[in-house]
Amino acid sequence: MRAVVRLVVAWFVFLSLSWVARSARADDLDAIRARGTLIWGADQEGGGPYVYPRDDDPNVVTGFEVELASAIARELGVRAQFFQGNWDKLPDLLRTREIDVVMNGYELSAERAAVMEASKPYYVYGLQLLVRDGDSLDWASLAKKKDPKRKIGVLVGSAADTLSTNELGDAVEVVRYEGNTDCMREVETKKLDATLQDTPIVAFYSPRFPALQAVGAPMAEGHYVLYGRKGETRLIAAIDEALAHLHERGELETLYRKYGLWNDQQKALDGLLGVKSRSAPDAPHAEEPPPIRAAPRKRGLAILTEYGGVLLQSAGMTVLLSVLSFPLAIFLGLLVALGRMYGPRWLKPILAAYVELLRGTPLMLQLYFIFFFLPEVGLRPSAMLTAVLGLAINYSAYESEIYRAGLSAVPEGQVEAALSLGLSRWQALRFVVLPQATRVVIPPVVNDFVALFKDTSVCSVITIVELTKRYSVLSMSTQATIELMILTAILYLAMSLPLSIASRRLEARLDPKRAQS
Amino acid sequence: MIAVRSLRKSRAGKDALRGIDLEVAPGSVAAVIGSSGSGKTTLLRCINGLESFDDGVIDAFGTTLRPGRAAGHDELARLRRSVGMVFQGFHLFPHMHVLDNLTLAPRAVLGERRDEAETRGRALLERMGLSGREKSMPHTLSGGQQQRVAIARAMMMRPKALLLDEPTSALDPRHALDVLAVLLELARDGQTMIVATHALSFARKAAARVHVLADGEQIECGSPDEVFDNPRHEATRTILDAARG
Repeated sequence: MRAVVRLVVAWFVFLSLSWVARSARADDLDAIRARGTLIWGADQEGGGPYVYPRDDDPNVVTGFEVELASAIARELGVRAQFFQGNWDKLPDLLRTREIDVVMNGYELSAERAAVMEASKPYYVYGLQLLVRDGDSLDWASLAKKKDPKRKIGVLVGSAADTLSTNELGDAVEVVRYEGNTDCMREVETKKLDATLQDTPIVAFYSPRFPALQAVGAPMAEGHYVLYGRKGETRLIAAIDEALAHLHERGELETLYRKYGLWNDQQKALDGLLGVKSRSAPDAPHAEEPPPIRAAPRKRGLAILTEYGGVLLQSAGMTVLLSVLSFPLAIFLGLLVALGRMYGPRWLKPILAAYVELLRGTPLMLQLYFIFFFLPEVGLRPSAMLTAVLGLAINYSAYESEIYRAGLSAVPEGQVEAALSLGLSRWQALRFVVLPQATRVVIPPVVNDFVALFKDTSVCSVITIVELTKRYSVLSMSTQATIELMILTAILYLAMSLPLSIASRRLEARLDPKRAQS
Repeated sequence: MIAVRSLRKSRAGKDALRGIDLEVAPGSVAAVIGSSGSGKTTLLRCINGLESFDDGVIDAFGTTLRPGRAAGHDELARLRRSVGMVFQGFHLFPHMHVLDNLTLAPRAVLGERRDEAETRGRALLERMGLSGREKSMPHTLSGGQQQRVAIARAMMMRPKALLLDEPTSALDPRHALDVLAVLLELARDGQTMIVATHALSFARKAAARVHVLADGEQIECGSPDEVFDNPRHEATRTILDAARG
C-alpha cells in the first residue's frame, strides 16, 4: 500500500514538473528574436514536396517548405523550428500559441484571412486534373452527366474540393480524402476516374504514379501564404520582407528548381512580392541536377529494415502514454466508484454526471477541449500532459464502472462479517471488499488497458506522434501501405499480447480456488 | 449483561419485531426458537447493530442502542468489541486462509502483533478440532469446519457475548453435531451466548432460558424444561413438533 502511495506521489510530482517546464511562448517579432526560434506548424502526413520524412532518416523532415522556413528564419535572424500538428488543426495551434506561423500549402482565402494574418504569397499553384493513362477524359467531358456518375477524388476542404464541387458537383460524385496520394492511388486502382491536385504534388509524385497522366493546363491559379495570428502585422511584415529578399536574390527560384516546382506561373511572384529586379539563380540551368522527386516506391522487406526502427521508436511513445495514464485512470476510477457507492449523498449525482459525460462524449473531443480550450483561460498544459490527463480522465469513467460492478459482486455478508468483528467501514473495505473486488475486475481492467493502448492513437490530434500517426506519415510518404500496416499491427500485438498473458497469470494467482490448500 | 426492552421494528410496512423483551445474564446461554420468518435473525442483527429498530432499547455491557438510524461509529465499535456474531452462512473471507481469517480483526482493531494473534489463533483452532488447517483456504473446508472457523474468528476478539444466528441450519446432521459440541463446550466454560436455533437438544442442554418467537412476537419464555415439556402456547407446540421432525 505504501509503495502505491509513493508511486502516486511521484506521479503527481512528474506531472506538475512537466507543467512548469513548459515555457509560455510569447508572440510578436521581438519575442521570436529573443527566443531565437521561429516555430512553424505543418503536418508531415501531408507529404512531399512540402514537408515529409527524409528517406535516410525518417525522424527528420525535409521538403521545400522546410528549406523555405529555414531561409525565412535566417532572414529574421533566428532558427526555424518545425512543429508537427494535424493539417486541419494548424490554425488552432496558432491560436493557442503553440506555433508562430502556419506554412503548409495553405491557400490564401478570404475566410482564412478574416481570422488569421496572411503573408504575401510564396508560391503560385494551380489545380491539375489527373486521369489514368489512356483515358480520354478531361474537365469538359467530366462536366457531362453520365450514369452511373463518375468519381473525382480531392483533398477534403482544399481549393480542389471547392472547385470540383462548384463546377462538377451535379455531374460527378466528389469523393473527399484526408491525404493527397490516397486519391492518386485510387485513380490508379480504378476506384476513382480522376483527381484534382495542387501542381506541386503532381510534380513530386509523378514518378510514383506512372499510370497517371495530367490532362489540360493547371486551372484556378491560387497562392500559398503563411498565416500568423490576427493582428501580428509586424511579424507578417517582416516575413513579407524576407520573402521579397529571398526572391530578389533568386533563392526562391533556386529552391523551387531544386524540387522541380519552378514554372512560368512563378513569374507572377515578382509583382506579388514587389520585386523589381531579380538575380538569376546561383546554378546555371544547364548544370542543374535533376529535381527532387518522390523516391521510387519501395516494397516488401526493404520497408521493414528501413522503417522498422522509427516505428519502434514511436511505439515507445505509445507505451509511455499508456503506462503513464492508465495507473492514474485506475486510481481516479477507484475514487469515483468508492464515492458513488459509499460517499455522501450530495456527491453521488455529481460523480454519476462525471461518468456519463466522459463515457458519452468522444475521447477526441475531450482531448481537443483540454488542449485547445484550456489555453483560452490561461492554462497551458503540454501536449504530453494533456494526452496523459485526457486519457486518464476518460478511462477513469470506464474503470469506475468496472470497480462498481466488482465492489457490488462482493456479497453484503462479507461486509457484515467484517463489521461484526469490529472493523471500521474503511477497514472492511480495504481488507475484505477491495481484495475480493480486485480479482473480479482484473480481466475487464486489463481489457481496458489494451483498449487504452490503442486509443493513444487519438492523441495525434493534439500533435503527439505515436505509432499510428507515424504509420500514417510513412504510409503517405512511401505508399508502402500494406507493409507498414502489417508492421504496425505486429508492433501493437507485441505490446498487447504480453499484457493479456500477464493478466491471465495474475487472475489465476489471485483466485483462492487455485491457491494452495 | 444484555438486555432488550420492548424492541419493535417494522420493515416494508410489516411488523418484523413486535415488542421483544429479553435478558441474558453473564455466563448464561439464551436460546431463541421459532419458525423461519419469526424474527430470530432480525433480533440478533439488531443486537449487533447491523440493523436499526423503531422502538425500544438495547443495552449490551454498558453500550445502549436506541431507535432511529444507525448508531454512532464509536458506539457501534464498542458494542461489537463486546458482542461477536456468527452467521448462518459462515461469511468467512474467501481470499484469506484460516489463520488470516482469525487474526485480521485482532490485528486491525486491537492492534495485536501478528505472532501474538497467530499463537492465540492456533490455540483456538486446536480447541475447535481444526489443528493442521491453519493455512487452508475456506472453500477447501467442509461446512462444519467453516462454521467452527467462524466461531473461532468471533472468539478471537474475546467477546463478552456471542450471537449465533442458526449456526447449524446450513449443515448436514453430522457436521451440525461437531459444531454443537464446540458450542456446548463454550457454554460450559461460561461463554455468554444468544443462539437462534432449531436444535432443541442443544437448547435443552445449554440454555438457561428459551425464548419462543412467532410472527415477531415473543409468545413464550422460560427454562428449557418449562418450554419444552409444558408449552403454554399452541404455536409453541407446533414449532416444537416441527423441530423434532
